[in-house]
Amino acid sequence: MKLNQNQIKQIEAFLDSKSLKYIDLRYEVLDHIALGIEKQMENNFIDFSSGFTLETAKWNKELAIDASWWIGLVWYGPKIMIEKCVKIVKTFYLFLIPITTVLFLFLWLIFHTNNQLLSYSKEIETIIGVYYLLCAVLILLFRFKIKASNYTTSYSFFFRTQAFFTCLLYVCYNPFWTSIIGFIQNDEIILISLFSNCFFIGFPYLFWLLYKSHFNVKKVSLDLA
Amino acid sequence: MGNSKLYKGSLNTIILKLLEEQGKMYGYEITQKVKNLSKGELNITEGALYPALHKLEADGLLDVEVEKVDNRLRKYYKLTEKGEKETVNRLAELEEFIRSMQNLVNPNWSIE
Repeated sequence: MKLNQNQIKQIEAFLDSKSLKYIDLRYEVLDHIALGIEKQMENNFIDFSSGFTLETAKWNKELAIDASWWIGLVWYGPKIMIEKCVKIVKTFYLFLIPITTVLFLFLWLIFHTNNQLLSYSKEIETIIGVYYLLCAVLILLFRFKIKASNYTTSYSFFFRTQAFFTCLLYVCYNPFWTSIIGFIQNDEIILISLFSNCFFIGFPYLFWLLYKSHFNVKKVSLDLA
Repeated sequence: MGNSKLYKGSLNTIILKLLEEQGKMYGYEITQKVKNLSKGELNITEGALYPALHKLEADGLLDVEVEKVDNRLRKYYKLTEKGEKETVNRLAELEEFIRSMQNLVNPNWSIE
């Protein structure tokens, strides 16, 4: 037994009530609930209303409002979407931290074996400072492009949660004008500062991944919507 | 199933194995197939399934096709070439794990 357009709209209203507006999940969850209701109606000889109640009850836990410290506890949304964002961020850190460590060891070795480089500290920090500012501008540009796309995905949600504070960090934590943050001070390498700079050099890649994924969802979903 | 946590670490392998056998599947179909094959012992929760499918897709192991079916969109998943190779590796790892567990809990028992 196939559901009609009005019955589909009732499921959409249920998803709206649960704030599941993220299209990378919404269409799949809608199809999942609809198939579940159709099965209930066929197997148990019940009407749509009863099937709807039974099926949506199964989703209350997965669609309950949730938050995670991985993305910041002030940001909340349906549990299924938050879990997806947490998966993304964990995978990203598993990728970024080894790369940061390798870059840190490489730079430390270079500075350690070639003391002359330390005298170029101002120039090196200027390059990094300009790179950070460029990243902040690009992140803001991506943010506006995502907003202009007029649809929401888990990726755009995650992007929004991180964008402002990352840009703020790149402007404030910038060796270009904040000399105490530089990793070379008095011709010595400050290891913590070198490591954190290596981390922040790679961190903008997360925003590129989220930006790309957001527009990729459009390709596979909206064309048929 | 008394302890579904035992299955949790194998969810991705289960998904890959099913897609290797069936060609292409959608989310609901995967949950029903797992339920049938495990005779109702294992219920994949929707909250775990879709993030796992999207992660496998992001890793380049799955490809997606979206079709309009009965007034709504349906997203089908299928293995990519990389996914096919990964399925073989993960199944081998899982079989090795099962063999090790059998040796640990029942050294005299054999699957031969």
